[in-house]
Amino acid sequence: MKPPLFLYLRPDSLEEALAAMHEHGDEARPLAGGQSLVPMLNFRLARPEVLVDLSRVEELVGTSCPGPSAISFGAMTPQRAAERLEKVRSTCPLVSMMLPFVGHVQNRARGTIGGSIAHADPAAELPALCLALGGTVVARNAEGERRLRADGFFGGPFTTALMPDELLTSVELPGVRREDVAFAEIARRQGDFAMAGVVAVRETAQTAVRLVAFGVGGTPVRLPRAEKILEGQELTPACIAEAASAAAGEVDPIEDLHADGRTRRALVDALVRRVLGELGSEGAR
Amino acid sequence: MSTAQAVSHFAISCEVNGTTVDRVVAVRQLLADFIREDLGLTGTHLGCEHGVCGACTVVLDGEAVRSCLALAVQADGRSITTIEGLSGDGLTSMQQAFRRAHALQCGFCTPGFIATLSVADPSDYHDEAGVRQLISGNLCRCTGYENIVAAVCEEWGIERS
Amino acid sequence: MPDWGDLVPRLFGARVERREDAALLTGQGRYVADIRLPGMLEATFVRSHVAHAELRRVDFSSALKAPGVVAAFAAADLTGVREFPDYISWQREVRQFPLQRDRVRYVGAPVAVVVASNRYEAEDAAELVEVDYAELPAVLSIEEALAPGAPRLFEEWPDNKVMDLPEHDPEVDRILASSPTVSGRYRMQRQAPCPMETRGVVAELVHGRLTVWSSQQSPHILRTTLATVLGIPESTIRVVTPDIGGGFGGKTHQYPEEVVVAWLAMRLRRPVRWIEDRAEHLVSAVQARDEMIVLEGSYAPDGSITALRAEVICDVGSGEIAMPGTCTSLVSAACLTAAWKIPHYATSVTCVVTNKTPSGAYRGFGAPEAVLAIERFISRVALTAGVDPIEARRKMILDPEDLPYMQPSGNRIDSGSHRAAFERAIELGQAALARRRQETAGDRVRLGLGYCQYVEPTVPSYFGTTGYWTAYDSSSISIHPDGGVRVSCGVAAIGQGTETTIAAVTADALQVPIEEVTVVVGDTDSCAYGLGSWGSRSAVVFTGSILRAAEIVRQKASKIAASLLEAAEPDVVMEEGRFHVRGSSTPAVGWADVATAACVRTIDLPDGVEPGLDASATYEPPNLDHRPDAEGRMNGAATWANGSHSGVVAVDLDTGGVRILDYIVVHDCGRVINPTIVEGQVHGAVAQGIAGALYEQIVHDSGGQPQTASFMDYLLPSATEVPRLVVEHFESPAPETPLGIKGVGEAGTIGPGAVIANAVSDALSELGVDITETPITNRSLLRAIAAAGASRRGASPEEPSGGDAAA
Ligand code: FES
Ligand code: FES
Repeated sequence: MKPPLFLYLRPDSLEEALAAMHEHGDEARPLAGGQSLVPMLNFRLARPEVLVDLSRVEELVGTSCPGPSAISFGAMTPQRAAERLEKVRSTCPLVSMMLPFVGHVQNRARGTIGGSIAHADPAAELPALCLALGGTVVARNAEGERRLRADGFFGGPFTTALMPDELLTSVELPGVRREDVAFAEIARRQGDFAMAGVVAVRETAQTAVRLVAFGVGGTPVRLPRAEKILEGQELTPACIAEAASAAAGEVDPIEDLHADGRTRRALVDALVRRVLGELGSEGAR
Repeated sequence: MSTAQAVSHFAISCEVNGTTVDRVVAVRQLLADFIREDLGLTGTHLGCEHGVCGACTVVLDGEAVRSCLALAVQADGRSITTIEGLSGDGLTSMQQAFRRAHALQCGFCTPGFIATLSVADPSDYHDEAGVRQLISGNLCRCTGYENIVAAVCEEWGIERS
Repeated sequence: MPDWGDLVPRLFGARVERREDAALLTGQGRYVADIRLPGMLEATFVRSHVAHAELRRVDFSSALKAPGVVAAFAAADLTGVREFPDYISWQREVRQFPLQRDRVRYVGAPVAVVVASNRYEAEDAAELVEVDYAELPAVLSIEEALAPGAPRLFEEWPDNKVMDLPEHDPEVDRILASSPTVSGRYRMQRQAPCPMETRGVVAELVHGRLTVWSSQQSPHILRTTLATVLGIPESTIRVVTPDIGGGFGGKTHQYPEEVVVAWLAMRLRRPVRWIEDRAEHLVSAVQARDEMIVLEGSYAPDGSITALRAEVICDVGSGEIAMPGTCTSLVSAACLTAAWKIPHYATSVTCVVTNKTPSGAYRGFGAPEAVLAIERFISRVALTAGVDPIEARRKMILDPEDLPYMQPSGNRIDSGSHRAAFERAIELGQAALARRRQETAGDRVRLGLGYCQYVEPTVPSYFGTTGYWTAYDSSSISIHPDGGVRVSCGVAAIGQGTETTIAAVTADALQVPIEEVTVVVGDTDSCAYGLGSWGSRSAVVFTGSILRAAEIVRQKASKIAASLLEAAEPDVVMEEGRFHVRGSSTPAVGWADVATAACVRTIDLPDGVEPGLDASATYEPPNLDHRPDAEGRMNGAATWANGSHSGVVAVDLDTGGVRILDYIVVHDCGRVINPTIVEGQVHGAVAQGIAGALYEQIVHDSGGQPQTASFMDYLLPSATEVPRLVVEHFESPAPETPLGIKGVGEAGTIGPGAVIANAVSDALSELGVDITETPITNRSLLRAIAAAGASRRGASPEEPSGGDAAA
């Protein structure tokens, strides 16, 4: 279990990084925190010609607040650093709630916000978070910048709207108050990818809830039928139950070693009830 | 140093346990192998080489990281502390707590646990559940964690639930 | 039985701190992977990526051109190498060569070896080795292996049964035919021992002698096997087992890689290292369990079982492993009746080969499977008889007055606290359950109490496992001129604190401070022949042999001391490590004085006393049958430990999630040398049992491809999955072992599968869920809940097994 041969580039600036991606195109693989890519190298499942190590691109590290109620993470911001920031907790508490479920503390020390989103593991927390909050992914290549909405960014397992020469440079998330977000997941063990997870975000007007399930399909998915049931409704037990069973019905769950489709539907049902129950009781306070 | 040319080897300079180390490394070499094979610091162990077991945990710029998931070249300009460096002359108080509590058997996992714990801030942990969560990225096959949890709780003054 | 005699032990029974810890805590341990020798090469194995195929051709032409490559070999190149010996006469012969010759029978089977200057380059080259496989249909389960017309793994056999021992007991037949009966089918999944340190071998040839460092539990057995397979004199081989990062049974076997790496060192005349990686480990180190037990029993109105017939069927994978994996099924058969008084019992045992990694030893060695089966069966019987399941158990459990108890299988349960431990576990479990009921749980969560009781054969005969080795072990003691003591033993240290317990027993036996004792284990050049560490045997056999060796040394020392003190020998007594004349004020002499006379100033020795102050002794465990008698009965262990566990679980009806809230162990391994170490053994073993109950499972797809060759998919529990463990000791001294001690290494693993299956079934009793399989996962439990609901409605005949064993 040792990585195969590859060549290595370590740009010092975003410009150099983009130039490298431009030059090597399909053959290049950006290396962010390495918590997914390096295991794949060790198993020799990934065989890039050129590894473009982004760890020295200072422009990609950091957290800022572009507006009073929004937060922007440079792609190379370590998850652990984001987890610790009070600014993150106060502006966008959902991030602080979900980050501790990303791998283990040692993974989060190197794993980055942008790396996880660009990797697009269908069972990962950060893509689901991004989708649930309706975040924006900022991508660049040598030609320029694109702003991509999270809806539509995730195309399939480990597949995104990024072009081969593009780098994800930052992620912008709207701030949503603690009482308007809820999240739960069920994994076989602590730190594992979830068999199923659900994120709920109450939209500002208090009349709609964005619901996202992850770990159940090829990408994190919105649950439009369940969202529809909730629209304009109080989160009563009956309404929650109806939304939960709609959610379980509308996911198209995958089957793998750890859970079959039936299990994943049941988990989605239970998790939707759990998160909406939490949202309901928070709202009532 | 930046390179425009993609390379197969790289000259790195890093600080390991307080000493500056200059080496040329193959870019695909894992940090864990650099530490073990090139520097002979064999207290860092490899239990899985895919980022799950935590046996390879070292401290990199103040954070506990998995050295099987970093490349040696990425240590360039960084500071690394391994179990050898964490130990100093005698046993740290956490190591003594491990010893008192019988928190190790074969010892293969132990350096990884010690490394993880060495950078944790005890004030972040208030109960046994929190301690278990903290060490959940380090697998131990011998102890059932019972005495590891006991050692950490004792050392940090946490009452067990 | 060796005992303390007049000696006053100071360390026996005390919580002596481990001498291993200071080095291990600071990264100063020395494991096989830490060994680097000048000029050392690294090997990697090319392994079969198909489950079953004819091996047509291995082509190294591209591989040999790769940078850094030194050599590459396939089976045909291994000149001088022989097949592994197969000594077992009661099963079909499995012919195994260190590299596969003409057929591969599992994914992971070693086909070739590539040697390069480092592991990276060796792996690069290994990818270039071209192997031509002609695929054959694979057989992947007990059912497939036994199906009529099934593809056969070994053409020379008529079927896929490597061992087939039918039962015949007309009395059992008669009772079952004339009484109401209950039957059940129980299944425990395939698991892997998975020590945190994988396997590894380093070998070098210097001055014509081969030194092999290996992560092994039985250094001498490896030496004997290497001599046989390499065809060289055993005296030219030295096997060293340095610090070992856990074994758990998996490292008791003699593996192909150990032979091949040793051969490479001889052939290439350079040191060679091979360190197994985790992906290899999960397909090529032995696996275990994977057993089905079918029970049929008659019962009395009080719920007690009057006669029991068992069919034990074990899937041993391809069977290609030295020290075959068949014996665990015999132990399952022997352990099924636990400490239950079941007057009539008959069992058949069948082992089938399949296209999976060979099975072998794993902590518990057949007992966890048996206890899961019998515990669930007793509950089913009780339910059928309309009796409370705890009451049914109370009717059957052994009482002190029953001991020693001869089971129908021939087991002789020598001692134990069977009823008392059971009652204590139940009491603690019920109290825990009552406490948990106070806490609000939520209306979709159900609590359940589980429990179990078991006996564990400790210090067993190895004959049933190997067909060759038996049970004894050795220790040697030398006293150095400065009074320091060196003790060496044939057992191995695999991370259990063995050096510490050896030092404590030796220090007590010679009445010296423990710091004066140096322990040497795991080096065949320094230690007399012994069988290593397995079968929960080490403490008993090293203690037995150390006490005997120490006695010889003490006697000689008394003679010398008498002479130094100018006294008559009968007047000399030893107290606190000093020899003096009884009732006299003459100054005493110590071990240093005696040893100096014995080893240096031999002019001071009395007439007739030879120089030197050392002794070697062996210890042969008592009461062992190495072979069954004419009726097939045997007592395969010197002494039987016992225990009862209980636990409380919370089951989420909606998610099928199981949380262990409390776990309690009441354990009896006789007299305890070091309670801290014993507790540690129990904790670790229980965690492995919990792992089997809820998490770990080796899975293959329908083509025989392993789906669990990483720690992402083979789920070792972490600290968040293992609950707090409460351990209480009972101490029923073994009447016939030294100091009354019994083994402890494995016992904890036996209980959790049964406890958690019982607890989950209890939690879901209103639904009629009857767990018969492990692991219990969200998927399996949701399925069982649904099936139970359906069968209540009369809709589905699907049996709600609640386990994932056959997934
Ligand atoms: S060896 Fe790095 S996490 Fe296991
Ligand atoms: S002490 Fe052996 S793995 Fe932890």
